Amino acid sequence: MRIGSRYFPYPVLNQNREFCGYKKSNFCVSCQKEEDDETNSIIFKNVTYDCDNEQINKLIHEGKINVYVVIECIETVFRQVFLLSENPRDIRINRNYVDGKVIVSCFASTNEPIIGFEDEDFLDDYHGIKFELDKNSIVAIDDGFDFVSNHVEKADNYISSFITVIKNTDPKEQDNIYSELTFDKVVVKMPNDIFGKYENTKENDQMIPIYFQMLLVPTLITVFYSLILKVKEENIEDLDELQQQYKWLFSFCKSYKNNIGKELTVEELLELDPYKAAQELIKHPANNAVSGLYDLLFANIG
Amino acid sequence: MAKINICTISDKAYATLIQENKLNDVLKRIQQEPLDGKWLKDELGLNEEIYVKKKFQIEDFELKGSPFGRYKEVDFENSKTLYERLNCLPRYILTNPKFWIWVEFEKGYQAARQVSAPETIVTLKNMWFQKNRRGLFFGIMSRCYFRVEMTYDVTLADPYELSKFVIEKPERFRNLTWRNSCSIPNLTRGVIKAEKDFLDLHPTLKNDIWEVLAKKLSAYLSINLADSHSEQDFYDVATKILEETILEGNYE
Repeated sequence: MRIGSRYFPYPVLNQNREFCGYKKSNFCVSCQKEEDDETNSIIFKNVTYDCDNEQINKLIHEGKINVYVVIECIETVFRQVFLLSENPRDIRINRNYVDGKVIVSCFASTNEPIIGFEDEDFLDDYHGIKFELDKNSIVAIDDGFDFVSNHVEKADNYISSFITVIKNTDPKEQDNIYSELTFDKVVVKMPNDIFGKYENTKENDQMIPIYFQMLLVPTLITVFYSLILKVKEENIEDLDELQQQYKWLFSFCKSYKNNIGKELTVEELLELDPYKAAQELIKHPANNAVSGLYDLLFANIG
Repeated sequence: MAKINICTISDKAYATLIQENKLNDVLKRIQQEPLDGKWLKDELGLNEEIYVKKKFQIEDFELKGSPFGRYKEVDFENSKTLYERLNCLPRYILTNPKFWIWVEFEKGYQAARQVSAPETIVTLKNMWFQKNRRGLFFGIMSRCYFRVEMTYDVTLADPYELSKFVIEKPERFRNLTWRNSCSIPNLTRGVIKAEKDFLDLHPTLKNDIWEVLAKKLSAYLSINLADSHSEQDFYDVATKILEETILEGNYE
């Protein structure tokens, strides 16, 4: 759950200073996130909060205010709340519950009605005013952080983990091959007439490098250029941010690391040569493609 | 009942299916074919299986169609079947549109068609091939599952009591589901119980009051932490809102 720019009818201690009703006080959540493949879990280690406001801390100690961390994945309708204390705790979430953006946020809320809520550190506009708070009223907010945890299933090969070739069903678009970056996959759309021929020959050993060079290299060049454009236009600092838009990006980055030997970071992306990287990513098929074509043409000629 | 592996529509079949032009053809076929969704494979023109088997196993099931085309008659029974067969699956499968396409075409085509034989591409996309979280509560089969999952209550003599209540008149639940906060079980159960008790006291209540309740609850939750509420808290809040709203008039 995110509070964002929402205003409250009483001062709230918000980590976002722009919407904070206090002068100096702070409230924030802290933890370290780890992934455990063995137990298929996401572990939040040492989850705790830090609050330096005396009045709120006093009410927490009296049991009148509780502090919670909320872990939510909107896409999977998953939301779970955990009570926090000053003593750090570990929280474990099974990865099966989430798929997409996971939001971790922290709130302090009243455990009972509080009459005459006031604080020395309220902004001047609220100074001297006593507020009545109902049970469950939010008094402190840290919108926390988010990350992407996508379920990426193992594909037959590294290419099919992020590219799908399909038949273009639009009768007006039958002259060219198109590629499109969808959420699930990079989709290559082929004219109706040649799709069948492609399907019947794509497994042929001689044809594989030819199709790689003919279809995949241009597609991957488009992918690299599209990512570069996105990064520049949206001021992306970490490619993880794009995983919310492109689920296949996880597999794409993994292939990049396996085949090129480097992490695909924003810096790397902005410096690479898309034509060269596209060929390297699919193990430079040009030589085999040309040799394959040569063999196909001349193998039967003495 | 035999165990089966669940499936999802393959990436290739899915990408082919959701092309605008293909959607037109699929729309026509759904309108023409009332009983069996096996035609989808031919329609997509792929010379390979369009469904991919997953490792998860469930007890086999088939959803019923109403012999007289009145889906309401089988709605609860089908929703219960969906819940009982599928609640063992991981959440990332239950919220995957590719899984629900398999359910719609292979496990409950006749039923799905009776719920909504789409007349437009927009309806087809929203109700048959739903994409996001909101779409889950709009999807013809996914919404049936979630109506039960979110209202099933083991503390009641009949754990399906609330499910029956919301399936009888989906407006009692639907307006809550548009908000992310409905992911909190205490909220859904507390509010639905309040609705049910309030309706017992005011049997002539009009259905549009539930939309007002959802809006007012949403406003209330803009400054209150939904997650710290107990079921009883939500019951009390919803009852108070309903009591105030009925005084505004025109809801009986």
